[in-house]
Amino acid sequence: MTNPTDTGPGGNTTETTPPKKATSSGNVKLSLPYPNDVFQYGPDESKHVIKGRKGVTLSRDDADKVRKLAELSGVQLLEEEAE
Amino acid sequence: MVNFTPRYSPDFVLTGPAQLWVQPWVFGTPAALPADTLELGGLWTSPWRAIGATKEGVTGRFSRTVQNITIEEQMTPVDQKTTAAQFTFTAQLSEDTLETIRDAYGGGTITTVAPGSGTIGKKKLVIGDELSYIAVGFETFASPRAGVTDGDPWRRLVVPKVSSAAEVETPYRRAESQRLYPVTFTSLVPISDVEIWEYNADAL
Repeated sequence: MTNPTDTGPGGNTTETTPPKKATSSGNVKLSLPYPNDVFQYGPDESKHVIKGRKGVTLSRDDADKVRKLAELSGVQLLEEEAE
Repeated sequence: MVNFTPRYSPDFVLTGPAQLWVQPWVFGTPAALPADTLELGGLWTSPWRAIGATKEGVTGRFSRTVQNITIEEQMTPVDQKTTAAQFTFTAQLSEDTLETIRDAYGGGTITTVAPGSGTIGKKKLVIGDELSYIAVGFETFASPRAGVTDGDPWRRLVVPKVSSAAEVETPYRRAESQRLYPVTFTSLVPISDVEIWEYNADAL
């Protein structure tokens, strides 16, 4: 049996959905599960922001940085390959 | 003295905890169970989020209110018809986070600002004026079956739309108790929309 872990609040608030396969652009779309939640990951309030399910499309490198900041901040992200 | 023992199956007498998962309800995108191949206790991926520690576990309640149909000629009812039903999960959440508070207070919006060079990270919860809808996932282990050898048998269900409304009284005590956030998730979907699944036999 798998033992629960204490990796964070609720056990998993920082995990992300594995990217879906078989799309091509190489970019990643990051969004938030709750439609009205906001995650600001940089200094510019209008630019460096993820709003709910609308999300934002980033290069893989940028997505990695945002993912790390989200983990640090206890933010749960949704992630999928951008078309 | 007559020697009589009713038939029974001790393997089906179970104890043990259950895990609740939550995710926001999104119109047109009903919440789904994880893959059948996910082992018991495995991670339900985002947008599912575990509700975390509870003081006394999770309690499921199902109640059906019935109307007796009676006739003058018979003392017992000749039928019973359902007039109302309620399906709830309750727990006392014990991880004191803004996500927990939102779950308990029935909804809200969380804005998170990541830390930057010389700036702290911060998070803001604005409690919603109105209830938000969420979906609740439930997992526990099921009775052992001869046909299950690849893993532990699980029982899972999803209630695709619930509200969270309860009187949330949180004690702030030095040592008597942890901070608690009681939640009551009440199903808002027809009873027939809730399917209870069990892992019953290994793949052939």
